[in-house]
Amino acid sequence: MLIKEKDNRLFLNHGPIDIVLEAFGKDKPLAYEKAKKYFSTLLNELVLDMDLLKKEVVPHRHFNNKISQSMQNATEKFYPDFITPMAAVAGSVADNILNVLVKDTKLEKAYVNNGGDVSFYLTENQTVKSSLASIPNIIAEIDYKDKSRGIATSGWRGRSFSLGIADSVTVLADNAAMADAAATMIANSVNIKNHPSIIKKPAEEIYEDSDLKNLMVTVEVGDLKQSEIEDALRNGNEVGKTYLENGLINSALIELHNCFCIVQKESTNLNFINKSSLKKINYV
Amino acid sequence: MLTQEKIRCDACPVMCFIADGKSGACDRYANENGEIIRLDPLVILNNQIEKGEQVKPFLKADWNGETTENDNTFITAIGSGTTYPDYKPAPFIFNSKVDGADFITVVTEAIFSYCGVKIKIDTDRHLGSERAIVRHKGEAIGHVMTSEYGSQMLSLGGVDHLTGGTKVEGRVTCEALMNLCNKEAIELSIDEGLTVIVQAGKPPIIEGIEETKMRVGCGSATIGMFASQWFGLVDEVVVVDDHITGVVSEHQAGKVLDWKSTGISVKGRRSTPGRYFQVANPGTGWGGTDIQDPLTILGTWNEKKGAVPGLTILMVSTTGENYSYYELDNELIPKKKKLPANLKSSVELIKENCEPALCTVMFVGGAGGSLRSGVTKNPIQLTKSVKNNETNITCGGAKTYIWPGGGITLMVDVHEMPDNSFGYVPTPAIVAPLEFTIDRNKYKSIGGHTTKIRSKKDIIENGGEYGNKKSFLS
Repeated sequence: MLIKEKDNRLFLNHGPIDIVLEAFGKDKPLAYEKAKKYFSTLLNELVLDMDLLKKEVVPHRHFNNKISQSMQNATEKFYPDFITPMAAVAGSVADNILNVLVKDTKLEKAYVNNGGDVSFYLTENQTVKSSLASIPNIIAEIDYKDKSRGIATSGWRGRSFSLGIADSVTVLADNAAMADAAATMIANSVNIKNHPSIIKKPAEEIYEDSDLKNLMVTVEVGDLKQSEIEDALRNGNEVGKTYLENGLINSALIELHNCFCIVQKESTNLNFINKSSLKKINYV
Repeated sequence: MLTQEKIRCDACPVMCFIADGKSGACDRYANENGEIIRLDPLVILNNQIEKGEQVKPFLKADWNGETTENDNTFITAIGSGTTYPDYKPAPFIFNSKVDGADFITVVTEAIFSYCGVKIKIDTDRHLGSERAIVRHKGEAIGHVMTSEYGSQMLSLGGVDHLTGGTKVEGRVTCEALMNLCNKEAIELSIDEGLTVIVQAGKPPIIEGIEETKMRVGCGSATIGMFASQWFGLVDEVVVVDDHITGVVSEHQAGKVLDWKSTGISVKGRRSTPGRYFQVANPGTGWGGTDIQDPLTILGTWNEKKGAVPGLTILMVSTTGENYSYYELDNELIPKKKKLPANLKSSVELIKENCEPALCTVMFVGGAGGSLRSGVTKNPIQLTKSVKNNETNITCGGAKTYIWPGGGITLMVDVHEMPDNSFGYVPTPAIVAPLEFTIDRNKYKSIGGHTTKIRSKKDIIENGGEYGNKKSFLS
């Protein structure tokens, strides 16, 4: 376990969890102390629920561990589609550390970045800006008035497995757990069946303990025709729209090869500022 | 068909079950031939580091395309992985030219389960008695050695703490050693002594107070060094020190100058002439004592032994940080006066001769065991070649001191090494980089793995056997 404070930020690492967090405001030292204490036992407690968390989600299951419960709450919304609570693990860890940071402390702003899945806290006049690593010139900007307090990214190129071929799906949702689960689900839906340029392998062949067992996960995506790219993106766009209408997410950005599309309500401010050279596709 | 060996990694509570050639959920640990290894990338250590420039971790993606055949780039073993304890060639063996000659460097990470650190803490403060236990997070991880020349020496780690005690003791010792070696600050508490925060290359923080200067010497030594410079400028000098307070008129250094006696009397226990022990209690005041007003260590001035009105006295601490100047009045009571300029310069000289107080962390490990098999097929030849100075051993590019006698016991100043050079394995043991550099012909003659030699360019472009893209957890 590594717990380190540097350049005003707190770095927390234990096993697969890699967190960078920062708090702004007068109670920052207190908030950091609380986060350190909470983190010291976090993974040990979470692994106790691991067997159930790796199984396909069943609605209304109850967990005593708050992180496990966050994972359950976020992923059961997708039932009966296939998803395991593990799809929300990174976001749930981020959300729960953020809760510890802000509970009974005076802070103006805070964020917990767990390997790209970020949970944040804003007070009036505060904003977070996040540039997307996958598309350099796109910035997601969220201010106090927006509903979103979580951002997460999924895709086959990332650290997590994906059943789909999206290079990245970035989701803004009310919390990071939901953003994480939804990003996973949208990324899974960006797909082309039986394409020769797409190579997949059973998940457990790559990682023994994967919750995805023998499901085929993407390991390589070769050349695709423009029409194929647009069709695959359209699938993701449709799924994203359903989640948007059901109130699960607030925005999503889906990227595949040289194209991307944005899912969000017309009434909301555009949170993604596009200065990239990628081709934006508008589905009607 | 052979079944692949799967092993459970116990580096963290996730306890991944990892098949041969695969890595765990963290992407940091992997199973290589049934052994858990660390996957952090290689570090390329350029001579630039000496200019204070940052050392960058090795990643092919970050490589700017330049070849390094002819420049001064040195490939360190940081993150190279290890083939230990398999008796096969080290992860990287490469050729380079140094002043026109072909040199081979064998690069490996070594696992040290018997290693330790020796710490030198520049302070006169009594941190604890010799042999007192040094603790970290409540666990015994080492002991106080000796007080030497204004520094306190500690010895931490070693096989008894790493693997000879309880599991917790081993883990805490390993963590403390790794953090110290990675130049992190850690808190050590000494049984029946003080608590000190130690960080390589930084001043020690003792009971919450940062030590700034090492004293120039004890009070007596200071008298010895500066007596002749004070002679003729002032009638009496007292150098206040917690260990030995010096008085110039009584001191041997004053006697040889025919310094006149002044009728001074000093509290505390007189050792030899002009040298006094225990003039006050230890503390954070003058010269490591608890005094704020130096006159409190003086008794009455004796007229019969030379005290006269107008006699001048300089009192100064061993670091020159505190000083006062007095004149005896008609009742022979010292009255504070402004320090004359010609004496001020001698006080400044004391200050100038004090060095910053620092913590030095020396890593001590052994490279004389089975690890040698990664370098040569005939291990004793490697030991002999190291002893003959034919093979140079560096740790993350930093020079090492090799102890005389049996084995290859090396010592290295961790401050010279790149940041975060050290890792650990759950055994518990410390993982540290090692590079053996030897003339190509010599390498052949000691039975080196000559068929495994690669070019630097190849290593930089293609890396090692590990480090493929991996992605885990949903």
